[in-house]
Amino acid sequence: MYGLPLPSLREVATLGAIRRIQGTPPTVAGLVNIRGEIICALDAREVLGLARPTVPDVRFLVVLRRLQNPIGLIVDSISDIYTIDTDHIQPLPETWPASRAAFLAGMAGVPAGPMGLLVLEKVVG
Amino acid sequence: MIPLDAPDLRAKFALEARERLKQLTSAFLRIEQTPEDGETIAEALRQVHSLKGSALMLQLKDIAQVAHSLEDLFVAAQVDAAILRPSTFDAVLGALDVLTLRVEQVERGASVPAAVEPLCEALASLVAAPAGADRVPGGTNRMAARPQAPAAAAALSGAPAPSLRVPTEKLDALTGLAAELVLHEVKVSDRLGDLRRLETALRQVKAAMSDTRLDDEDGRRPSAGQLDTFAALLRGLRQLVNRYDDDHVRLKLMTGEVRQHVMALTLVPISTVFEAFPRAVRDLARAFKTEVNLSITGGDTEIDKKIIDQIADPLIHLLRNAMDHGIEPPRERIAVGKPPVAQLRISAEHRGNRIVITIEDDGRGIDPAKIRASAARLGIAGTEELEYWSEQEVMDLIFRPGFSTRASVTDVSGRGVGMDVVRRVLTRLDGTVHVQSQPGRGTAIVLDLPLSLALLRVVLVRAGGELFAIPTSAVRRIVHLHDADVVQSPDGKAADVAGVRIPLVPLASLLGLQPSASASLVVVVTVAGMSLGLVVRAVEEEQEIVFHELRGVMAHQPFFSGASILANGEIVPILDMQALLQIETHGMRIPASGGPQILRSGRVLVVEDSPVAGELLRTILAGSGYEVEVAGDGLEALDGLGRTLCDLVIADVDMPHLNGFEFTARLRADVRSQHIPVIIVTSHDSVEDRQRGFDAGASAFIVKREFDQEQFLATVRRLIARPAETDSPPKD
Repeated sequence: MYGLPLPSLREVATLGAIRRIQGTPPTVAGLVNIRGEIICALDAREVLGLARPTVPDVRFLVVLRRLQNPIGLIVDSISDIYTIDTDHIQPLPETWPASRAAFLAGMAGVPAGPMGLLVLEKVVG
Repeated sequence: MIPLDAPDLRAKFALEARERLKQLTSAFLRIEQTPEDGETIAEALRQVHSLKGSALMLQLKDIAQVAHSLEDLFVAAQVDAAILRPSTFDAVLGALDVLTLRVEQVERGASVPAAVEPLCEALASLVAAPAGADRVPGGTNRMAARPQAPAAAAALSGAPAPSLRVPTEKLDALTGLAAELVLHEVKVSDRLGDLRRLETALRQVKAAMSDTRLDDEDGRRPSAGQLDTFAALLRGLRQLVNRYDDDHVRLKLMTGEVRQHVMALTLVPISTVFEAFPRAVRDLARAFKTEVNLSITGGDTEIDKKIIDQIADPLIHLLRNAMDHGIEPPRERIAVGKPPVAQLRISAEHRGNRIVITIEDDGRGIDPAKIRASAARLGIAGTEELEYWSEQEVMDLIFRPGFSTRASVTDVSGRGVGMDVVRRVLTRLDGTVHVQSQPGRGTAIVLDLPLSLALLRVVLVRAGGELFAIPTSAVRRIVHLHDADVVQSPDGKAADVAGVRIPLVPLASLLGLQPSASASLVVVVTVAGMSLGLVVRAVEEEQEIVFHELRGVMAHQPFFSGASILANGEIVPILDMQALLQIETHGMRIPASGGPQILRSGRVLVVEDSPVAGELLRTILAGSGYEVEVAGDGLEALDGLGRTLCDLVIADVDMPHLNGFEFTARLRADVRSQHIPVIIVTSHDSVEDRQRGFDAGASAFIVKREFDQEQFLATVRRLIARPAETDSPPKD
């Protein structure tokens, strides 16, 4: 489970058709049409280097607000909104691969379990 | 007290200051031409005074200090114009440069003031210096360059219309919404069709039910009451469909207008780029010790802001090139019998929905012999082969990366932007650049650009199971693979299309996709003199699409320039033809002449507004040995017929300006063309259309949907043979 800062969220949509764009790295899933707007969608699993045992039937697109242009992040599911006290953010366990740890600011415990806190700028480049 | 670091305030200041500096520069260049122009000096004084005021409010003391020094200078100049010496102009323009730089820094948030004391002292010393210290006697030598004609100056500094500043993101959002609206309108239109079909089906059901001879399978029959109810419902439905139709017509009209207005919002006059030119030319003329009269026309021509942003640097480069390589110093000009003052003309004008920008000088020109020599030295082609290249092809070489006829690089022309970059930018913008030159007489560079980036005509093709868009401007021909002569060349497959050898590559494999075995169509594309045959599985259709830029991580791939959303919501990427041709390195040049002699059995004029349909007809006809000419619409065709006659005309029905029927009627009305047979090609197959066609004087009628190549060619043969054999006068 991973967490994104709420203010960076523009909208969440179920993932429709993705148009793959040749010549882009594997982290880029393709282009998605969100009500007439073309949004570049990154695959969160690819970005974080996570295994892909099964791809769920319905995935979600998290559209992130950015200064330049919005960008989408494809995720398996949406959990909930939590308020996390900055004091309760813990460092990452050392066993985590550095390639994944690079995207995280730390860990926090929420009712649903431990959660990695994503640093938006690192995830979307 | 105003908070100093308010970014909002800084941005506002920067906007205002930049505008004032622009006005100041423009005013000052006018003063340089006519120092006695008290009114312009007063205007400059006003601008610099206001600038000082704003700078003081933001406590930008260094800016205020320079402005103050300039103010002093202008006040002194009002009293005694003699202090306006060449050195004064240089110093003032230098000070304006410093201010522009500082304004930029302030906008970015830099709050460290610049050390401006030396500059201010220098300006003060100009006021104090004895009059006439370095004043050159005589009016003509007052300055080396006369950067602009008075008319152009007036045009550039014309009174601005009331305006409102809107951030471009807001406009982009609006453009996106307008595009979406257009797409939805298409959907609404489709739904109307569905509704109509439904209504027709229901009416047929009703007709069947009222037919009392027909019984239901069970022998039951609807009662009269049921039939009445059904009829009433059907009437209701019909009324609804009609109203829906009315609403749709209105929606369609309004959508079209919204789209046009939104497009117009992003159009700005090209003078926003041109107004930097007088200053640039003045400085360059000083650097090169040349005398140049710059004239600018068409500054009010409007073009998409996004295009302007991208062509500013290429235009400046072309200007520098003209000043550096083209225009000779006065002595050299006099020696060859030219007037000492060179002419540099920049013009912009609309041609249809395109804009043409020309940069023209009367300098040395480009010597094709020198280009040929360089090309041979660089190993682009053999010396002998180069002799066969046409002038235009040789000239085109200057746009090649790494091509330069000059051994040394000056600090002016060699600033990283080369002619290859100019062409790359133009191609990316769906434009072209050409050079025309006469040695000793001058050079003209012609840029042809679309008015707006928002809309682009593309051909949709399918390859590797996916849809791609190719800009129509790059498509030369579309042929069937089996119609082309495929040959195995050392570089891979190639085909002879209309006598020209073109390398073939499956589009799918170019993009790293699995090519389909059934790919059998070749789209011949030509960009910057290079041609390539892209093998695709299908050519879907040609249409106008809304161009969306690819940004961020998407911009880093090598294949696509943008993307678009089709009416069905599908996203289609737009192929960057220049990039593809560079990837496919064995792209070959199309020679201007050569190839097997075509057996000419007749001249056919195809009038077709769809380039794809026109190209298909051309291919089919040319393949059978006919000489083919394609006109984009009826007016163009009539124009062409005025010059040369043909043996047969093939006309589309739906065309702008003059439809196929009107065109045929006009053809028949002219005594010179009334005997020419006309085949009308249409997508509507209705009795009325056929009647209209024959009434207008068509000789044959072909329906696109039922297009049969053999039958079509047989008709063509029959019609072309007839008048040639009989040559009988046409009867009425």
